[in-house]
Amino acid sequence: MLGLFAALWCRPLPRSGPGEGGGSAARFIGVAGEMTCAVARGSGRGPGRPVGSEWAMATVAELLTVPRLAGAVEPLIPVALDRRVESVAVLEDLHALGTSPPDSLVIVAETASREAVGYRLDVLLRQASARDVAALALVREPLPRLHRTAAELAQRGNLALLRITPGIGLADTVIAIQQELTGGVGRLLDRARACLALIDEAERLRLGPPALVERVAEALGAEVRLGPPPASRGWLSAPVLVDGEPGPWISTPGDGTDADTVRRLLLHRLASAAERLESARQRAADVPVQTRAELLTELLIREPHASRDLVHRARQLGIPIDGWHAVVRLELENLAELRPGDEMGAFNLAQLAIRVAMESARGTGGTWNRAGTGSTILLVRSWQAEAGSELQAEVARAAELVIGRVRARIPRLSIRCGVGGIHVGSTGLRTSALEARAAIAAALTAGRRNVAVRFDSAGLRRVLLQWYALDDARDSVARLLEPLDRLGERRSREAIRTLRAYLDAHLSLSRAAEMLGLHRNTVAYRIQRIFELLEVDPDDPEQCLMLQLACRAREL
Amino acid sequence: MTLGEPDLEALARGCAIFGGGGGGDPTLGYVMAREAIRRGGPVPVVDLDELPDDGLVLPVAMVGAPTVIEEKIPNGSEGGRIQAVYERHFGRPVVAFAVAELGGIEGMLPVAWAAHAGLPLADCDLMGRAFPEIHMCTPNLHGLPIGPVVVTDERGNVATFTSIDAAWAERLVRPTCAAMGSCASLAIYPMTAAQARAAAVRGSVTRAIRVGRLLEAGAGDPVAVLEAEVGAVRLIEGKVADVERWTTQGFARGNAVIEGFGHDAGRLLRLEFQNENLVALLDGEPVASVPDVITVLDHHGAGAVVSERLRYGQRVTVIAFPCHPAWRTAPGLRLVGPRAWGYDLDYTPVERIHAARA
Repeated sequence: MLGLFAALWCRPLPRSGPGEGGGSAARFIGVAGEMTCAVARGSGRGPGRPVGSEWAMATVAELLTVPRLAGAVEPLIPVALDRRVESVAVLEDLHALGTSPPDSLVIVAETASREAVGYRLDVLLRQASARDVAALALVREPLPRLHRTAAELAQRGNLALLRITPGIGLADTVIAIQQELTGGVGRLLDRARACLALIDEAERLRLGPPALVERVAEALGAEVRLGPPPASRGWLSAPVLVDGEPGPWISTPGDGTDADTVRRLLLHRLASAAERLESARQRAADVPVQTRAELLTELLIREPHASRDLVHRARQLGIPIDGWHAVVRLELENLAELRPGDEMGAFNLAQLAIRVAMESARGTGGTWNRAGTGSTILLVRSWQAEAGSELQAEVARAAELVIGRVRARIPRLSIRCGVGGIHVGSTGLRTSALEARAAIAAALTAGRRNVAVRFDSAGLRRVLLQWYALDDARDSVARLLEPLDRLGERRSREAIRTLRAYLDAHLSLSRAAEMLGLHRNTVAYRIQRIFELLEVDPDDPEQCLMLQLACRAREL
Repeated sequence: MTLGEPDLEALARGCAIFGGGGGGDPTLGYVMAREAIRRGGPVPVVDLDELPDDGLVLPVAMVGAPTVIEEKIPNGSEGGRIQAVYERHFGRPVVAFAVAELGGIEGMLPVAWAAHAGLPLADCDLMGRAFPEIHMCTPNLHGLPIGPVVVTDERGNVATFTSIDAAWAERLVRPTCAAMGSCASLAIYPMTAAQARAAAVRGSVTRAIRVGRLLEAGAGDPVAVLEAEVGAVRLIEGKVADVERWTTQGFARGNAVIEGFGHDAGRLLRLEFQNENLVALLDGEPVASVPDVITVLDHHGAGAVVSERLRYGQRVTVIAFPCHPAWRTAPGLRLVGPRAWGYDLDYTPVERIHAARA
């Protein structure tokens, strides 16, 4: 059929009034060598207006984004892409261009395109310019280069010169362009269909929500935002829920017509896809963290002598277990109050807090892992090289930041936070965890919430004073140190001083000897003797911490 | 008239103008003709009326790629060898050599061979310009046989073709030329003086010399001189902005883009050539085409630039002028009109296009 006509025109006609048999439905009229595709015609597109409104024109650049043509039509030179197109035509005979209307996009059929090379392309371009054609599309393979004269003629004639990949259905191309030119809900539906296919593909490819939204915006030919709820009126939006909590919003401008229904449906489909993609992303990112967290939690719970295999596994998982560690302990106090009677809701809040805490901690730099269960979060900062005590302040600052971020996300959440000292190895890790717990105990005593309390001398002294003032505490200390007290006052004082130095030096004989001004062997002998008398396991951080507290309390 | 050494430069200049970008660079032919005249003396240029009716006139030329001719130079003996073959074939002497095509080296070599042979040069040629194929001659329009065609090279190889028509002669000669190294000497359309009076383009040698002299004198605008002498029109003044050239089937094909300057600023002329300039399109509009003659003049020296010498950056003036009326007839256009070269264009005489544009 096409072959019988020199040219096929699809031209939007003036909008018909009621009863005139017009409307937006297409009809074809064969007229002596040409066909007319009559469609509704509007007043042209204004800047920033949403796709789908009843416009009967599009720029060449806009036509290039028509989903069904994506990748199959490209400009040969970046010229006249802002030209407005009013109609589309197929040219099967290069001599028939003389009947093409102004502002049309002329698709040169494949056979004619093969002839439109060299000087014939020049002639065609000149004729097209003379008729004020908006764009000329040639069906051909990519060109190594466009001849100088062709490029110049297109530029001078403000004529867009396009290439259509051979093999693409010409009728489909014409219909897609015509539908784009027609405007209205039909055009929006066409684009929405492409968006849905894109969303399906994005879910299969597990694209991130920002990339998905960007692609959908391109396919829709309209602005689509991912961010806070839109402030402007006339925008349509849908929230993206992450872990049951509202996250960012996806929004696009509406026009108050029926087309907004299509936009809303699309937005909700997009938001739900974004939610699934984001959840999947978080789960995927959380798998190694989860594994490490479980291992660290077990390591901190188990008895030291039974944790050798865990230490080995920690090394295999890349946890720098043999390095230096500082533990930040966060206890979420009022989850149940925030979600009364909603256990699942409270659980989701805890998960959210864990995620935000971990992301915030990692945002401060360095190696962070997490442990803990339920409403207790342990954040472990680790160093491969020896970390000085000055870094403890840095960890405390990170802890403050974490509290701030978590509370910004869950505003009424009450958090107690303790920061342990920096200690080496798996034993040091346990020690730091205990210190962090002790610091929380101090915070509890002092009634301090939503601040990071450090297990350092200043804070501890106050805690120790309060604690040692209790009779039970004094009895405990006396019972614990009684074997040493039996040595007599001088030797007892000497033993407690040696023990405290050893414990303060994180069980390092050399550093303790340095602090006491003694030979290392002397300290080693004394420590061995002291532990024999005390019947305390030096590898048990809990007993060691108690002993350290007792030594410090005795010196108050 | 007698063609002596002082006239050669004018002839060379005129041949380049009429060559329409083809016929090869006349410099080599000029040197060969000068040497031949120095040895054999000046060459009489005779009107066909001065020759006996049945006197055998021998139109001669080079065939092949102009780019090869510059490196594979004829040794001067080719004319004598061709003459001997024809005299044996027809059993009577050759009375005059003639120029087969008036363009570049093709217009000069017959002078050298005439001087070597001590024969006059008939004041005519078979095209009134240059064309790339041997059957594109006015005697073809008069039904004269092209053969026997004699082809020879500088080594002494000689091939004689008797074909059923001129197109077949072209088909047979072209591969032989390729075998001889893409360049050879030949004679076509051997005819009597009486036949030549009707079928050849008369007076073309003296016209070329006259035009050459006028341009040599440097009297005013060369385009104005050519306008007065041959009815030339100016197509564009500009700079060569792009040249695409490829050699295929023994021809140098391609196109050049001339970017206008001065009062032609903002215009682009696309020049299509196959040895000779065939079509000129100004901003996508055909402004001249074969068989009219399209010639590129050097903007400073007014000499013609042959197509193989077109280079990026050259300042040039492109002119066109009417061809011999024989080519504007229907048979002439069928043989050498734009469609004969594969151009989807109808021929319009250059002066008519120019008048319409003005």
